[in-house]
Amino acid sequence: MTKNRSKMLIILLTIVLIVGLVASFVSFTYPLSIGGVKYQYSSFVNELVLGSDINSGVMFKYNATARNVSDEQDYDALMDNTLSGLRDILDDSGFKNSTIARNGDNGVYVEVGGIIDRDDSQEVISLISNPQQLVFSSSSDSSDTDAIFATSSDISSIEALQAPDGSAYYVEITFKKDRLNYIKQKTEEIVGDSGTFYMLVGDQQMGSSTTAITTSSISMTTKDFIDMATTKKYAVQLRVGLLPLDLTCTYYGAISASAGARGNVANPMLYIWVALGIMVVASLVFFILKYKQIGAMAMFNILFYIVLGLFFLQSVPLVHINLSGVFAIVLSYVLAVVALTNTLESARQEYAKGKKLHTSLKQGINSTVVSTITINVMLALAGIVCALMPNMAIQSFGIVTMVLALLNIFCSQALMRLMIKLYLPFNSEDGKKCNFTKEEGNN
Amino acid sequence: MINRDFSKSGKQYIKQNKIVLITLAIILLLGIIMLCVFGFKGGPDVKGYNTFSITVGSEYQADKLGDYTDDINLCLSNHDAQLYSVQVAGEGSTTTLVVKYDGKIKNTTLFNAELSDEMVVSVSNFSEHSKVGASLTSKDYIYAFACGLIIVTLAVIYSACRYNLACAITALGSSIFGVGLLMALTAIFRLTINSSFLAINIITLLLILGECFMIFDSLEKERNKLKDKNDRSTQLANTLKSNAFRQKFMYGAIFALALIFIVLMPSSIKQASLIVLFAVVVSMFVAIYALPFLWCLTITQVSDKIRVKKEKVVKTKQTVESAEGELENNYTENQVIEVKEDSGDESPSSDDNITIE
Repeated sequence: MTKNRSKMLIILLTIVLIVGLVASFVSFTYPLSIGGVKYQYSSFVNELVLGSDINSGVMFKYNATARNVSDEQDYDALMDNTLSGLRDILDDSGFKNSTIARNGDNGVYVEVGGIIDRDDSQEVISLISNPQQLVFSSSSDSSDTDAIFATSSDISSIEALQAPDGSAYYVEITFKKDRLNYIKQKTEEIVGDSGTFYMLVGDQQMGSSTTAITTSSISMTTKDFIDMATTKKYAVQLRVGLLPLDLTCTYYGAISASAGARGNVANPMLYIWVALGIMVVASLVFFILKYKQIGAMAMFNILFYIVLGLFFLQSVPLVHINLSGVFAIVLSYVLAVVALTNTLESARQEYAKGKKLHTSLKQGINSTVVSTITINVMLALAGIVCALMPNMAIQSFGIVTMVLALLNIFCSQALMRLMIKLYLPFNSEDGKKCNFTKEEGNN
Repeated sequence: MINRDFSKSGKQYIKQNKIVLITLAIILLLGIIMLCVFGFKGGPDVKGYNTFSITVGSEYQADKLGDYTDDINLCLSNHDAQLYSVQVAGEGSTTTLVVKYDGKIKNTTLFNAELSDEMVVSVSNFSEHSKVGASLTSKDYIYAFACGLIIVTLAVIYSACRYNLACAITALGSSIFGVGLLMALTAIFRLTINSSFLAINIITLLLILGECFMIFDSLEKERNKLKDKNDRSTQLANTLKSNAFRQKFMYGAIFALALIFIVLMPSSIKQASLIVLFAVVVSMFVAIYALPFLWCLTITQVSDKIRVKKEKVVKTKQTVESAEGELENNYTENQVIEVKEDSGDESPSSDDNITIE
């Protein structure tokens, strides 16, 4: 590579890096408006999905009551099923970073994390703050309890679906097998008397039918089901209503991180950024002091690693960063720095033995290929195993580890090779500029 | 200090490092006893917590959050309870401080009155104190264990295939020892564990296994450089020397970061960071002392036997082939007898007639 070409590429990469760093850390409003609307750019850091342990979330408190007297005897078991059911609903709705626990004797406490902005918190509030009880009745009057022949407890699942031709959205309600015959029989009786049966949610009539139920499931649609998101939201509200215990939301609202306050700062995420910042600055200073010019290229590499890492962490849909995720970031970052240090140390050793600078650098990176790939592939595999686990702490750790390990292979091998290639036209002989010295007798 | 002269046999090494090994055994034993008697000191995720909320309304001042926390902490400690965290919920007139703590307050009315007097902000309402259950279930522990097991199994299989059986045993032994030591230290120092503890154990495993692969790779490289392939002592000494800088740098960096976390973070993260600090110390100990020792111990026991057998077979074949070649070339009975005399045995195909270097 010629010196000029190398210079040009370095300038180009520097521009890309600066743009990347701005995109990673700076949120701003676009100066030009489109159709009179000014759009806001949200940085990669802003878009990271953070857990409720290190960042704010939404808190819910529910009263949980048994539906009938016989249920009260099995209250504890029903409570366990309610908690796990609620977890499933939140997981399915994309709010995996949640804490769900029993609150007192008859309560449920929920803290939902992974809230990026106000819209997210409003979404989760609209999903689970208003559990809906669905009943099937021969009367359109919800207060006529004698007319009710099926309730949420007779339903096994509720799912939001779209018609195959894409024309409509609907909620499919599947009945429990042991209750199906009874429900079929009741609807046949009602329809046989030229009557109508109704699907009611609270005081609201959601649908009616003059045809008896003949299959295990029934579809329900309303004019409100304008898109999949609305239909799903409705299905989730009905699913919360299916839980074994009746939940009444007594409180909901935004709450700061569950790890608690430190000093006057409500969310520890600020301190985490400070700690990570110290780590990054320290490693960059280390590279410059220890390896001078080639250290600057390694610093360049590390900055690319940070930008790409933030980009992937905010764009890979399953990434949720809680405290375990932060530890995964620290581990991965240290291993990325270690991989580069290994390369430069190997090069230094080769140079000390009497080899030329360009040969030393190339051999340095070649000698670390196997170990870097082995370690990072192991990390990525371990990450995949962890990501498959249902526990959020392990899952978060796994996904972050996997993403950053794969990125580390790219940065420490492919990108660093490029950096060395770009550096050599400027200096392929003088080891002193890289703080490399030859051993006595190898001059 | 530990004697790192791994050239000695296993027995000699144990004899030379008696004090360190006894200390380790005591730590592990003490950890097991502590675990059996007290178990781990569970945090809010593990054993749940008690909670109440204080409505402070629009008088809430964000810059005085530290003072509110100190007041609450003081009152809780007066009632033998331990503060886990203070969270801010709601905004404006509904601003509430949600307090999570460990312990049982007998007289909550008295506590509320005391706290009301102590707080630098006037409190408009105290909620009832209620118990919130654990968010970690037994399933989570099983999943974490399964996760660790799968990772170790994969690493052991990889080590056996890529390196040799001795390396596989070393990787397995180091992992078990490392995680065991971390758990023992966590139990002995009564560090509070939460859901991140599961991840920290996996970090320890990954650090140890990563270290194993690095060391095994270096060992292979160093062996190739040596004239005497069976000079374990030089092979290991060179490996440790070439890895020393990386080890110091890597563990030093994580150690420093864990310290920064301990200084900066709120108490719950501080506890987790303290366990990370222990994890780094344990991984470093395993990397510098336990792993080389285990490798030395197993390589002489397992790998050498296999290698000696293989080399015996190869040499036997070579001897037989050369003997046959010489027979064909010379057709003299004397030379055949010479070969037999060299081998020191009547039968040239016998295993015992080979002198291994």
